[in-house]
Parts: sequence; structure tokens; C-alpha cells
Amino acid sequence: MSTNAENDSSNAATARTAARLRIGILAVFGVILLLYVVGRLGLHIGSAGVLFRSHLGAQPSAGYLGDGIMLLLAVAIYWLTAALKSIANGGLFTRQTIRQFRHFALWLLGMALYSFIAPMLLGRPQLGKDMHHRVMIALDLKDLLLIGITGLLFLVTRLLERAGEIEQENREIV
Amino acid sequence: MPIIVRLDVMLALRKVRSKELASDIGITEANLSLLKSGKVKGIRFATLEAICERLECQPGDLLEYQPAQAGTEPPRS
Repeated sequence: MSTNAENDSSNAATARTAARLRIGILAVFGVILLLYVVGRLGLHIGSAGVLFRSHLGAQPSAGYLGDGIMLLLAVAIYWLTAALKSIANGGLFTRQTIRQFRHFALWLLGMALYSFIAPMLLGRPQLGKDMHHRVMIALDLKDLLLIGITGLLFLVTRLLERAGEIEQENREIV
Repeated sequence: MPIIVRLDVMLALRKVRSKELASDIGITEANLSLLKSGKVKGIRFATLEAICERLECQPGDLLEYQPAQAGTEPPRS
């Protein structure tokens, strides 16, 4: 049937896009990770030095904050690439793809929450003029936006589940 | 479901094999087998049109409505 042929062609195009996107994400994240490690260890790439800078300043906790963010991001990226691999292999709305995408959303939300909350907890209390300890709480709108966007990914996961149900129903119509 | 698929009867009347029909209308033999046994949720107009064209029949020759009798539970597909 022409409908099936159109669907197959569309699915193949989606699979190709997913495969390319996966390679792109792996390449970009690989570069980010390399620059991070080089900057963190104070190494040089050729004659160029890579500077590691955090908004926590030169505190030792700044490094741990960055390490935590990179670790959580790496896990999130792992699940995203796994989901893209499943899509590239033809499983557009399979349970496996949806489960991997949900893991990605969960770890990305974990990273967003960590990058929002951890600086408040890791920031060293400052001793004020009145000899009282003060803790500075800085709210970054970018972090809040990231939390909002990752929250939306859970809605996308629900939509994928619904799409999977519709695909299953569609398979039972000849 | 009270809709009965009479495709096997039409195939026998027209002396056409399932494999041949599946190939001619562009669906898999597995799907045609499911359709023959009524184990599908629906049939596309495009599929129905192709079957009618190939078997030179009307949709009514392929599908029949048999209301479920009171007290009898409809078969689950």
C-alpha cells in the first residue's frame, strides 16, 4: 500500500537523522569533555592554555561543582545517544526508546537541579563586618530556564508513550 | 466484533490464492491472514479498494454484519 511505503520512507529518513544527530552529539560532547579535562588539569593544547573558571571563584569546591555537572551531563548524554541509536535502528516509539529518553530527561533534570542548588551549598560562608556568617544565594535565570526545559522533556516522554500506543493501534489496521 | 470478514469465501469463489492477492494489493501475507481471520482492528479504504478491484467484488461481499445475540458474549479479538 502507498501509505505503508510513505511511512517506511519517513521512518528511514527519521532513522538517518537520528544517526547523524547521535554522531554530532557525541563529537560535540567529546570536545567539551576534552576541553574540560584539559582546563581542569591546567594542561595546554599545543601552545594554547585552557582556563578553568567558575562563578564560585577560586574555591576548591568550584572544581567539584564542575566535576559533578560534567558527570551528570555525561550520564544524560549517554542515555540520549542510546535513545538516538534505538531510533536509528528503527525503534521510533518502542518501550526501549521511551525508557532511554526518560532516563535522559531524569539525568538532565538532576544536572539542572545540581547546578542550581550545589553552588548555594558549596559556597563558603563569608564573615561580614558585624562578625556574622553570611551565605550568598545567587539565582541564575539560565539555571531556572534549564530546569523548566528539562521538566518539559518529561511531557515529551508522555507524548512518545501515546505515540507508541497509536503506532500499535495503527499496526492492527491493515 | 459483529463484523464478519468473508474474504476467504471470495478468494475461493474467484480461485485466487492468498499469496497472490497479498502480492497484487501490496500487503504482507501475515496481514492478509490476520484480515481473513478477522483479527484486525480495522481495514483501510485503500486496502478494501485494492481487494475489491482485484477480486471484482463489492465491499459488502467481503464484510458482513452479524448482530451479537442477546446473552452471548462477543468473541474477544
